[in-house]
Amino acid sequence: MFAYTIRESLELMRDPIRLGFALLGTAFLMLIFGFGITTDVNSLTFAALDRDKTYESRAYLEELRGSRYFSEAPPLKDAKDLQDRMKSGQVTATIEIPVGFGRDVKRGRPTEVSAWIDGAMPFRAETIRGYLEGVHQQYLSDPAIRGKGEASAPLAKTEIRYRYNQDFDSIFAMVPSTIAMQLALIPAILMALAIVREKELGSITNLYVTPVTRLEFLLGKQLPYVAVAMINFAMLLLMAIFIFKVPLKGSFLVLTLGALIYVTTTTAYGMVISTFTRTQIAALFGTAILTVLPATMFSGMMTPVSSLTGMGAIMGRLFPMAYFVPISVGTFTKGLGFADLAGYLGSLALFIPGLTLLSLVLLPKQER
Amino acid sequence: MLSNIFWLGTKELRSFFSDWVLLGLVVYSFSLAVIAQARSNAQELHNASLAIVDEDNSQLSQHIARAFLPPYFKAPQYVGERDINRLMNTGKFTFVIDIPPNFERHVRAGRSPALQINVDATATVQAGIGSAYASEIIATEVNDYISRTQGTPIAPVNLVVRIAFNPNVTTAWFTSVMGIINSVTMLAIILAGAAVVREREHGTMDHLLVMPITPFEIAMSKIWANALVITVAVGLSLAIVVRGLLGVPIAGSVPLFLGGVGIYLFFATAIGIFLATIARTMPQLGLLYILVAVPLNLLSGTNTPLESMPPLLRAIRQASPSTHFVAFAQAILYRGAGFDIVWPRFLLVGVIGAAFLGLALLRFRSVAVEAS
Repeated sequence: MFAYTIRESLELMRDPIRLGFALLGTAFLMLIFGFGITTDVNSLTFAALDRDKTYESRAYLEELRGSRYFSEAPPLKDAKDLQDRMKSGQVTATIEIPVGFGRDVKRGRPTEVSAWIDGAMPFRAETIRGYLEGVHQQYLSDPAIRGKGEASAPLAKTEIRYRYNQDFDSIFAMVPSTIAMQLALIPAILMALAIVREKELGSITNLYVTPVTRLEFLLGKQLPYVAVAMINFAMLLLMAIFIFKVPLKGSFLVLTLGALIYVTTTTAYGMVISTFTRTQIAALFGTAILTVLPATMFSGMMTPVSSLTGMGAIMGRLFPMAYFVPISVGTFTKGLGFADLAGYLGSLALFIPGLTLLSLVLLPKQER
Repeated sequence: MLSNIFWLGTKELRSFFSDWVLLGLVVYSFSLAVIAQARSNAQELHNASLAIVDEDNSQLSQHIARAFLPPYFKAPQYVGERDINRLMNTGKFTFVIDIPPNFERHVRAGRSPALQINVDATATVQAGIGSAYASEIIATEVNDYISRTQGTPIAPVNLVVRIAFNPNVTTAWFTSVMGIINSVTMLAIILAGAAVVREREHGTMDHLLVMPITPFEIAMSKIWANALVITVAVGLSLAIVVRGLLGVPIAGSVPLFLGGVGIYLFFATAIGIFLATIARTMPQLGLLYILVAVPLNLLSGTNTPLESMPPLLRAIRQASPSTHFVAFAQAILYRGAGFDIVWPRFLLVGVIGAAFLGLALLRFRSVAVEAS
């Protein structure tokens, strides 16, 4: 078994491009993802169609301009302009203030402001709706606007406490999840290619003709990649702390232990894919497709796994990353230790025998 | 020359159709993967887990608890105050609402008491939308409950918010088409790139080069064959999966969109060939591919909103055809935009695509010559 480990390590060492990419590539991706994947919705463009053009209507729009989420595009000329610019995606929200708005406000007669939001990206549309409602409430509570009516306090106040991340800045959740994603993607691909490469180039015959068992073959090839992945992990950890300034608040040991179990499972995942693919291109594409989708969508990066439904929920639960994201986010941002995360560590560990067994079943000892 | 390109392309198609696993993966990525994304509710407030600490135990507090309903929230569970930390730490609940003692009495007395919503801010998408929903629900319920007994003043100005192009904000409309777009980028690059590297690794590239055909013809044949496979796959996926199975209405013209896909594919396959000229082995190509394809997808706006990225990334993004591809796909398919609105983006994708193709061909020629 160790003979395979040594051979595979040597092969890796002699291929500085592969090794370099495995390490530098991870760093590069981390930079792109860490800064690029964000669920903060801001710098939104809105345009106004002010049909009233009074002091009151301008005061309303002023409230919107004051919001840190919106930036204003040139005002709309008419309904046609509104439609065209929404269609091309130049503006994401429009506000229309009807004729007579100022007069009605002064007289205390109920009136309406209408807003259109671009629904092409539903998540963003929902968030913008929340922002607009917020701005609107602020406008209503502004005593200057309420005028004669005495500024009545709301019946009840809601205080929202964002736990673990007071400013609700998505980077503190995204960077730890991105580490999880990186450690799923690259180790799995390297592992899958390492095995299928032997199939395609024919050197797998060694396995068929020598008394090496399949388990020895697989584990021997897996070890060097687990080592590479752990180097990656160390690098990502340093980047998270020093470049992204996401502090590790919880237990370093638990995170490292989790990462070790995790990269063993992700390389095993690549191993499983390698057993049923015959060409490197299929292995490469297969690993990418079968990893990227569950990693970005169904592993708790965007939405907690417990809220998913249908096939996504199943794919998420069968993918090791769903159990490592809580560990990574938990130790980094929630500041947790072993007691809170033991459950996730246990579930993660179960993947190792499961995936190894699966590859053993799928990999024939003899060519068919 | 054209006939050479044509025949080489058919060879390409034959080798593609003979790899069953690859074929299966292509089918999967345009069908099951699209459905899984569309049905997963991964990008909306759905089934959010909620707990309530009811220290008031009044009619009002029960009234509030009953207002949290599926599909947005799971039915709320009652927990004790000292359990909040543990439950939020393990991620059992994303939201914990704490209703303080004497809440109803204070509301009735007009003392404007505060109610607390604890939000797990690490559940990014849910936390943001969910806390807005939750406070809205609570405000409505309190007003509703009190006005039935006391009567409340009407707000002087109402805000009517309407969502254009997708009135019920159905996420499946978005995720299904974005799923297809992601698959296009992923597939096009790897198919074209791997087609080149495979020939080099197996030594069949030399066979081709000694034949009376130019590297340009080899490259073009790979481009058209792979682009054709993908365009057909996209067309079928839109018709059968998105429209048929998922019932997503498509606002604009499908042929126009497929035309755009064709233009984009020139770019994507050219990238594939370009990468193949840098990589010497398949594992190298694989790594390069991940470095290029995954960022192209993640930064194109199919997953996260673009406006919020840092300025440098936004600038890079503007130069990336995938961004424009996503933009015109959304414009055509959701907003029903016609050619008159999307042509600048088509042109831009075409120009960048042509530039990359030129670069790829240049590299391809020199690598091919060097190899022979």
